[in-house]
Amino acid sequence: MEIVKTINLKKYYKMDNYTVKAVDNINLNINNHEFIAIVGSSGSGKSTLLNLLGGLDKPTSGKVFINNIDITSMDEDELAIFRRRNIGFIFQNYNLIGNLTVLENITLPIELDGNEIPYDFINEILHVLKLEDKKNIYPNKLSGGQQQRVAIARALATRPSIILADEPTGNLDSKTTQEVIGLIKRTSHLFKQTIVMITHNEDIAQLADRIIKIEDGKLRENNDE
Amino acid sequence: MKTMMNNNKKAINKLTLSTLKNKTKTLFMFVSIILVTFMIYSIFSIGFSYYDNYQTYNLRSAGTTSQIMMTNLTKKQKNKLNDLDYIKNIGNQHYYGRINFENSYSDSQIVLSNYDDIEWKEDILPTIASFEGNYPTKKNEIALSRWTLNKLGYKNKKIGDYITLNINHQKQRFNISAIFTDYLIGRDQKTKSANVAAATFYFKDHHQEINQIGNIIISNMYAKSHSSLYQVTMVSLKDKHQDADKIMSQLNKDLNLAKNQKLYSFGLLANKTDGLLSIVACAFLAILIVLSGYFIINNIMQLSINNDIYFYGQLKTIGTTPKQIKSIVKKETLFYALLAIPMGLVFASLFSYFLVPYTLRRLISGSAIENIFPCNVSFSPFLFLIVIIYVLLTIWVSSKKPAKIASKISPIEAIRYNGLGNTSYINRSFSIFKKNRILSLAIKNILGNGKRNISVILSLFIGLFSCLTIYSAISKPDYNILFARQQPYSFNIEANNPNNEGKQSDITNKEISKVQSLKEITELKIVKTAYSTVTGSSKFLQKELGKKNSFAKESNHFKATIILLNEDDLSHFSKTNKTDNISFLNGDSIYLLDTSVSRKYIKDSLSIQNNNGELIDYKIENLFKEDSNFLQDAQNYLISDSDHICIYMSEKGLEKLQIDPIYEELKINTKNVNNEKLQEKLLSIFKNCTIAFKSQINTIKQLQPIINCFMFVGILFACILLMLGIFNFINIIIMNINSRKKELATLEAIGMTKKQLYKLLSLEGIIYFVISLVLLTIIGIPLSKMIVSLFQNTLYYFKYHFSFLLYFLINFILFIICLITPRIYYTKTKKNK
Repeated sequence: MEIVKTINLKKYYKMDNYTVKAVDNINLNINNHEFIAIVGSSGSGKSTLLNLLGGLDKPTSGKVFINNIDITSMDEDELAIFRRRNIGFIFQNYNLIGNLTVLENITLPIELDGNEIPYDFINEILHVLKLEDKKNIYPNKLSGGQQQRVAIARALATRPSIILADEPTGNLDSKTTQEVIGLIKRTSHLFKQTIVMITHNEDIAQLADRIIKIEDGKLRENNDE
Repeated sequence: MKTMMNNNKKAINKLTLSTLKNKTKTLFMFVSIILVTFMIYSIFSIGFSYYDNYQTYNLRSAGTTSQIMMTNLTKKQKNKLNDLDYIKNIGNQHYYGRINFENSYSDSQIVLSNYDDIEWKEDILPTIASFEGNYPTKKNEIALSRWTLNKLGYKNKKIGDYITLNINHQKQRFNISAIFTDYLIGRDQKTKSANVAAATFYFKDHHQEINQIGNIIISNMYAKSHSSLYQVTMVSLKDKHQDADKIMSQLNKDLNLAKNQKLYSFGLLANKTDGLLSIVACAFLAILIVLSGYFIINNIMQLSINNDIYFYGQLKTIGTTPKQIKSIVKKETLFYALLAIPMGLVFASLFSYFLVPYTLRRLISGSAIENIFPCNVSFSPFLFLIVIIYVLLTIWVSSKKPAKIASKISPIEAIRYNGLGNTSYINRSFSIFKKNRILSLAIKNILGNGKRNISVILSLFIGLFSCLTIYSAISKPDYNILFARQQPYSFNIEANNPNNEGKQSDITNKEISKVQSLKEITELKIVKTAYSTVTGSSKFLQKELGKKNSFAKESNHFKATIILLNEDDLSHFSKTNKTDNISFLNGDSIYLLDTSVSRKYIKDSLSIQNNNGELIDYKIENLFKEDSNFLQDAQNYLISDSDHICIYMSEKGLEKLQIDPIYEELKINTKNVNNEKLQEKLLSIFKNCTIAFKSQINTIKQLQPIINCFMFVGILFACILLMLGIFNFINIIIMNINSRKKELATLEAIGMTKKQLYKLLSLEGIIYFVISLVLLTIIGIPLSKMIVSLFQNTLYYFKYHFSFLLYFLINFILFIICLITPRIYYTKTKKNK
């Protein structure tokens, strides 16, 4: 079953004398529970595509369907609510909120929704990500790997159907990279989530179910099975 | 080491210029520095201008630049004066007679004066204004003051015109060679100027009281062909800051002055600090402005460093030393200063050009010094220098810490920097807000950056506090308190007697009965006086009188003004003195002032001459304190002119002297203080009388513009201080949002709606407001009350008047600004995301 679908997706930027085609007519289908790696050279349009998939950016034309829902027709608030309930983001720079503790960072999306915090579930996430003893610590006291784990936990907290990860191991050493990728895979399998990950790392890309290559905003799919 | 030396000034300058590309920061820095410069300059401009104008006013009032005046010096003594090394210059002034003219008041005279070259150029010329024409040289040339021309009925005459003057009952034709404006008439409408010192002393010696003198300057040629009636020598000292008694004693010794040679000093150590107080007040206000300026500039620089932390970290990685980074930051602020300070000075100069004269004019409007006090704005390089130093100092101090922070950034720290900051001291004490995550986040965001936000909150507080204090202090003068102490009667009508020995007064029974018939009057008190001479009954008392009342001495007795008091008046005095009234009311005893004799002479006798020349003895019952606050209104009980002893007596006491009293003053009370119609009626009754009319209505009319002016200027500056605080707040909100773009984007990414984001930002703004409000209410109000009470001695009729309206208004305005600023700016940035 398709969980993500794009139809003729375009994102063009008009500069002074020319147009940058960041995403150029992409038609993409991603199935449920898939682990997709998006690879491409710098400036190929990977992050732009990810932002479009997550509703962080509006396409110039085309459609994006998540769970058969057209997110391109939603307004900002609807998108925000949709994102917090259906999509989890993991960024390269972690992007944790400095004034909140680890636990508060993780539960923030749930609180924004006005829901009761499912502490059992949260504790499970903390256990899996080995953050139990870091609950009340502030992010600036954590290492990069620990911060990324918190970011993963935050992405998982609302049980989204999709995790969008933009170079989640870009700032980590190789050992931590392995650890984080392993965790992402494990948790997505455990909580039955679809993962779309941008990466430069060929080794990580090889761990994915499917590799999608982007060049100059266009798709070049590569199935290594 | 020599090998480590390099020349990279160019590179540093280039890097400095690159940091200036941040338009928002540049705008804020420029506006802040311009505002601070503008405010400091304006304050000092008013202060300096007031000081300069005050000095000019003093000079004009004095009528001379010299410090010592001597009469009847011999030629030998004048030569001796020339040899004294502490004398700067000596001038001579002569009186040559007076004009006989029609329609003159008997206490106004127009005199002929002549000055030698030094007296004219050094002493007189600096004290007059608008001198047009040439000093008279030919025998028939004269220079007149505009007041004199007007008095003579020659208002429209010009230089070169001829006028006829009646001198010693002989008509003489003169050519007007010059016209000038002098300031002979003082606050009390009497001439006290040394411009006409010679004439004044002549009248004094001849027991003539002339209240107003007009001046005509005659030429030396005219003077040579006439006899000088009186001459004074005016002396300027090399060192003006000397003790008056000491220098007079020295001169007495050096010149061996005779009894008929008088010696007076003025302008020595007098009013040294007058006017300086205005500069001190300005310096205090400037400190407040500097503080506000420091907060804002420091904040801008610190936030800028935070924003550019990667930049400074990158510089470090490529080899920039901490010293070089400090230099970049300092040069950056210097660049802003070099451009913004001159702009601020230009705006301020233009503004001061109009504001200062306006402020000064309003300050003195309606007062007795209105025509003498100039209202010029002072421009001086010294003033510019002070302002530049003040502002540069503020900027330098503000940039020190940011420069130090920037220089200490390590490359690794910069690379790892993610804006998280050190929030370890924010603990779970905010668990009460757990349910409201957005509020909790907002509180943490504000309190987590405590140091930075303290300066914003303090600058908001300074602005709010200033507005509240100034308004509460001077918005509602209580004139009842002022009048109770200084002017207890609604109207005072005082006879303007031509001389103290006259037995006439323009106030007669006719006028009194008219006043008594006015229905609006609730109380009418008539002050009667008489004139006589006194002697001490014992030689000791006589000696005491001579010692303390030499001004009143006339051969062996002393001139006295007798003021009649009734039982009612006495009970008013007796509150402080608790004496037996019976003897007084029976006419056996009298009161004197404590400045007339010492307390040991109480119960001694004073002899007063009656109408037949006989001496009648009266016991000195007690002494009134001239300077007691209770008798602050002593002028209502007539402290008489400076050359008479004041004696207080009952009607029965006066009967013994067989002298008819004259009506000196009427004191009138009415129910409605602001009774303009009654005032008109009273003025109409006395329209043909020479009187001095004083009313509470007129006092209010004179004071209110001054108070309004103070309010205007005070509130203006307080508002500017508040504006600086608001500016600081807006700056920190903008910088906050700019530096948190990533965080805000993350919040959006994880699902915070626009509404929730706006709520977060608005709450942050409101928190600033709440803290400022709490500070203002808990600390600001009591502090402002305390400050006002410190000035109660001087400004006793200004009671602290807390205005709820102002309190709510300024807080409401601040609330709105705090609420909407983050939202407006965030909306703007979103468009450019």
